[in-house]
Amino acid sequence: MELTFDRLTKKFHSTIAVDRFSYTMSNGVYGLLGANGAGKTTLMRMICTILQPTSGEILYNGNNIQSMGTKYCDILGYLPQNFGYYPDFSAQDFMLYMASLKGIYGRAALERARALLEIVGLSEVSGQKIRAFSGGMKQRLGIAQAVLNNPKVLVLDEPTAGLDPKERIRFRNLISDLSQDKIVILSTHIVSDVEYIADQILMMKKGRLILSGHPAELVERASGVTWTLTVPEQEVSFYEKNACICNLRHTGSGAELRIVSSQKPAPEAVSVPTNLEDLYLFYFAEELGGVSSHSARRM
Amino acid sequence: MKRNLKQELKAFYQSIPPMPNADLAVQLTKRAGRNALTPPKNFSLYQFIRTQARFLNRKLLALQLLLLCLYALYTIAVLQDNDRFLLFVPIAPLAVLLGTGELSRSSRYGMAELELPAHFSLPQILLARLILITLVDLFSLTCMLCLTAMKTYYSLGALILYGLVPSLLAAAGSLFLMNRLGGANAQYYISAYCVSLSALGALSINMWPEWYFGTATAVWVFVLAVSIVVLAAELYKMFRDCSKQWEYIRLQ
Ligand SMILES: Nc1ncnc2c1ncn2[C@@H]1O[C@H](COP(=O)(O)OP(=O)(O)O)[C@@H](O)[C@H]1O
Ligand SMILES: [Mg+2]
Repeated sequence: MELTFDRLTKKFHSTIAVDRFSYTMSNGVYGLLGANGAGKTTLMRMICTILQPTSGEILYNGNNIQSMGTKYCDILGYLPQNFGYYPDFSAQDFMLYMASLKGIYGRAALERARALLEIVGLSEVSGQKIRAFSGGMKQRLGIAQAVLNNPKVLVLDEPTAGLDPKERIRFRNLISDLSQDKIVILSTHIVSDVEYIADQILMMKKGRLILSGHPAELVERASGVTWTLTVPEQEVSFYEKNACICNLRHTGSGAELRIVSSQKPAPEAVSVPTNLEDLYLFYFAEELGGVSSHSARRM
Repeated sequence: MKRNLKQELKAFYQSIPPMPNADLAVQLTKRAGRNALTPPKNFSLYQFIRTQARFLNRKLLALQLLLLCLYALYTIAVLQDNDRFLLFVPIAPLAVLLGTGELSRSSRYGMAELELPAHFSLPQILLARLILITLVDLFSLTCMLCLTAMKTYYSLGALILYGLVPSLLAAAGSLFLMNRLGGANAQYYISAYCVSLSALGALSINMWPEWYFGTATAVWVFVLAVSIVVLAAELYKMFRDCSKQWEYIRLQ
């Protein structure tokens, strides 16, 4: 089973949302990391055939997914970034409705809906209107509907948005459980969501795939960009303006800064091991409203 | 009751992770992953349309039924032998209005993105809803027609004409508005349109009785033909647009 992206591009008028994206996926969990506006949602909509690429194509086992028609729909599960629901539906109605769209009906639909509601921990509230659900419960319901048809390609767009830390952990376990012999693609801008469960991390920036690899491998490759430095309190504002600071801790003797930068930010700075979050900041400092991590240096 | 539920929910949240009944969950996950539960592949469009009846908005159906009951009550109990009785002319657009909500449902409630990549996609869903609401509307219109026929001297043919024209006008206009405005706002305009059509119907019964003379039949037939043409064109446009899928998703 293989999902291949071949110079996939999507333009909206003048903006290029996805830019010549090429990659090949086989079984496993793929974490798509990128700041808001990086093109994650657009890419996922193309994987789900909701949007048509401007150029390039997506192949599933060598077949263009657009031309596979309903055969492709049958092996696809999708959780959109934002989705609505009919206000008169209960959780179970919603699951049965989605099942009917996926061509599952009757007893099979009911059994499957019940089992999945149990798995995501919503069986006790399955008769309640979705209106009364919290963001986290709604999100879990969304995940449950995505796997109704036992998909081979599972696309989850920001599945952890609106979940509290406990629900996040639970969600990670859920994804690991559900991800056997599937291609799971999930997008997020929160590094810790994918750090532990993703087999591969893809970083997107301005529509381009800028980095991909196993989390540990990525971190190793990027060693030497993280520094710590203790400076007097009055110098903190200087570094805030001129360097990409990923952590700041006030100690008795001044402020301890953790800085990502390709160059040593100050002579007394000490190099420390990079983690995935540092790496993310290293690439996305500008998008996050900070100073570019590539130029931070004291004159 | 409500507080109970809140407490239960709270307890429920605090009990994660691990899951409250982890063993069961593991079992179920295994079962859910097995191919035994993959969808049956012989699900036809006809079966799909039948299953969709279960998911029609029940409030709309209830309102439709209420309208019909009120009408029946009025004709049977209240109405004296009034042989110029044409109340269903203004009622018909309202019955149609109740159905139109079904068609704009996906975009109004933001479900389109979930519905698009499914086996049965938006065109089939819209087709199913269209057929179902047409059946419902036809049923209630037929009932009203029968009730009316018992009380008036109009021929059945004339009655069918007076019932069909306002219904088709309402349906064609609603689709016209839905196709062009889209989203949540369309429903307001559609309501306004159908209500004014109904008001016009009510006015005409009282103010312009000559509209319902035999000599006006040609005009009615002409309006009928025009509305059928518009309806067909708008239906075609609706199905063509919703398979151009991306236009159906309004991005935030
Ligand atoms: N339907 C659209 N029309 C115009 N521009 C769009 C549309 N969808 C997305 N974009 C643009 O494409 C870029 C990528 O957006 P998106 O895929 O939503 O990013 P992400 O999901 O990573 O936050 C953004 O600049 C956004 O403004
Ligand atoms: Mg997004």
